[in-house]
Amino acid sequence: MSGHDTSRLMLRILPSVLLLLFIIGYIATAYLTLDTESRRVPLLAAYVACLLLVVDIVAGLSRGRAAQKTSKGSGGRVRRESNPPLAQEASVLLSVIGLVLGIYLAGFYVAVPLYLIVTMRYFGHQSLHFSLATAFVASLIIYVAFDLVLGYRIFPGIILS
Amino acid sequence: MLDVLWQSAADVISLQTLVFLMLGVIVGLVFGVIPGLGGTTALAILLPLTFGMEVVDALAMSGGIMGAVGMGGSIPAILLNAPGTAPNAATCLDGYPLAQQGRAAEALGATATASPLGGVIGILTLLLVLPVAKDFILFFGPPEFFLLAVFGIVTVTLAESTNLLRGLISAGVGLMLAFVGYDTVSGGIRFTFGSDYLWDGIPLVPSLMGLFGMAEMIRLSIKGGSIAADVKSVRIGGMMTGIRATFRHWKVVIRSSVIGTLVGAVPGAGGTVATFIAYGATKKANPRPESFSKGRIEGVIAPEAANNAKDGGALLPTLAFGIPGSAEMAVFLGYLVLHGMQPGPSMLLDHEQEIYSLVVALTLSAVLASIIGLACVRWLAMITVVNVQILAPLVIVVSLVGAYAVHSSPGDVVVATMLGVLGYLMTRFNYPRLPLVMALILGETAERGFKQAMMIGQDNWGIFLHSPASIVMVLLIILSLGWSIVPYVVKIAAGRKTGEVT
Repeated sequence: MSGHDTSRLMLRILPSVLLLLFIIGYIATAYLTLDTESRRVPLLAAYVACLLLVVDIVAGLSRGRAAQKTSKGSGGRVRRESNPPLAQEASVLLSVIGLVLGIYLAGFYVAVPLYLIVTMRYFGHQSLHFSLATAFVASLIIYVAFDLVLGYRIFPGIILS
Repeated sequence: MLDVLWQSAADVISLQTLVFLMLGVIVGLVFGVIPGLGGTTALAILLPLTFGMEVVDALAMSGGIMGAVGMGGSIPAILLNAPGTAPNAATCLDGYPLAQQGRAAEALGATATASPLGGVIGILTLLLVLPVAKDFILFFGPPEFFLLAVFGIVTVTLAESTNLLRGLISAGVGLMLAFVGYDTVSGGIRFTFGSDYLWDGIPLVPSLMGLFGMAEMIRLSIKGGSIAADVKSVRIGGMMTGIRATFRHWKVVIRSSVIGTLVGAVPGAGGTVATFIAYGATKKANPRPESFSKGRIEGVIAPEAANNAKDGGALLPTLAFGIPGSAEMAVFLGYLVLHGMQPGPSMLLDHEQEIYSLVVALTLSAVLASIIGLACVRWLAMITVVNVQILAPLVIVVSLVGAYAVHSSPGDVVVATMLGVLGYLMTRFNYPRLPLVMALILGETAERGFKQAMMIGQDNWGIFLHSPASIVMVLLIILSLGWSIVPYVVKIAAGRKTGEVT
């Protein structure tokens, strides 16, 4: 099996492996911090999930190897799933995480307009005027709807509070 | 019961409540029109905004959403061959051919008539069964509630999962997350890592918003583009033909509504199953089944009647047992919890008037959705050409503000975002989300029932077989697992023999 095939195989089972590591951490935490009665049912769920994940990883590995054999046999003409580009996924996910970080640090009224301007300008390819206008209107709606009408105190962020 | 029903109706038709009902109907129509969003996302996003509302207003709004989303979803299904929600996929089969023949208005008229009729029949069924359900519930003790929770998780997992193994893994992870926080039986604090925020466990409302609402917005942002490239023009004339056709085919309406109600009551079956079964039954009952999928008006009436009838059926296990039968019902549970109404046996006893208010709201919303939907069909269809890079960030922002507003806690914003990212990754890597949500909702019920049952039975597992109800549920769980797992294993083994890659 070539290095490329190995890396594809690893990528296939990576989510399951990461989840398995999470569950192992959960089990370890239960044993270290909880008494017998408190950890009984959580451990039962964790062990069952663990077992199922091991089966999933093994099944994923055998499916991957079989797919590679089929691919070689058909001269490489195997239909591959189309996934969005990794860079696109990462940028959208990071933008959302950045929004939350911005909200935590500087509050909604700073983070929200910045996020809207950046996403509409660079992901949506909208003009600067449109992005600014949308950000302003959205912030205004949030202020009117939540602060004035519903009476919620919108979070100002830890820097500004 | 009639007194309570009249009082509830009076509550709903007050001006303030009607405004919220209309708002829910409009939101439901809009979210139904946009393929990929649907009632679950709409409910999830609006959930925190109901925090300061009266209970009746919140239930009216949520009822408005649930009653309208099916009608909204039928519009792109007929006009664009793109179902607005999954259950509307069956409407495409004959709805789009009708549109291609220039009979789009007739199809929309039939949809607008069949939807409220189906909804009313589903609600009437619910009203008939609810009083009986109250007495039935009193037979349930801790062992029965544990088994019911397990049954709910198992059936939804098996029904919703194209990948059975990953569905069960999702359910297992959901259970693990459900045990975070204060253990109500033993009194211990679990998996909080010193955080006071997690004492009450992972909060349900932000979790639902994240897993469904935000995850969908993230997916749309990554997908990019717009939902549809073009909008076909709609002729308003011809709708009366569709309306008259629905009444002419009253047997189709009744048959499909009954199917929708029954299927809706089964946890995990969902609207898609209901609409396709209703479509199939109608086709089979017709003397010319080969003419279906080519523009038969009955092919539109059947799925739309079933789609709205299923709401009445789905409410029964949700309200009576706290077992949501679908993703939409799971989010709806959040509305109940947010307003201090704990789903389960006490729900029907302590909140009878509120439940009947919801019933009235659902009935009204189906009618209003039809009227408003028909009036605004051209504009609603235009929403599908909006660039998602404008739509999705706005919805994400509103969701996060809403998440914060529930308890004025930044922690809820973090939870909604983390679960949103998790929800997207789950769909990306083919881990179904609904089993995780079901387990998150039912995990505490299952654990509490299990521990109490073991205390009652003095650690004797026979306690779970001590009553007819518990024996029936054990058998149902075993049958459900066997029904799904055995063909799955057989399929895997057959694949290995022929060398196929599955």
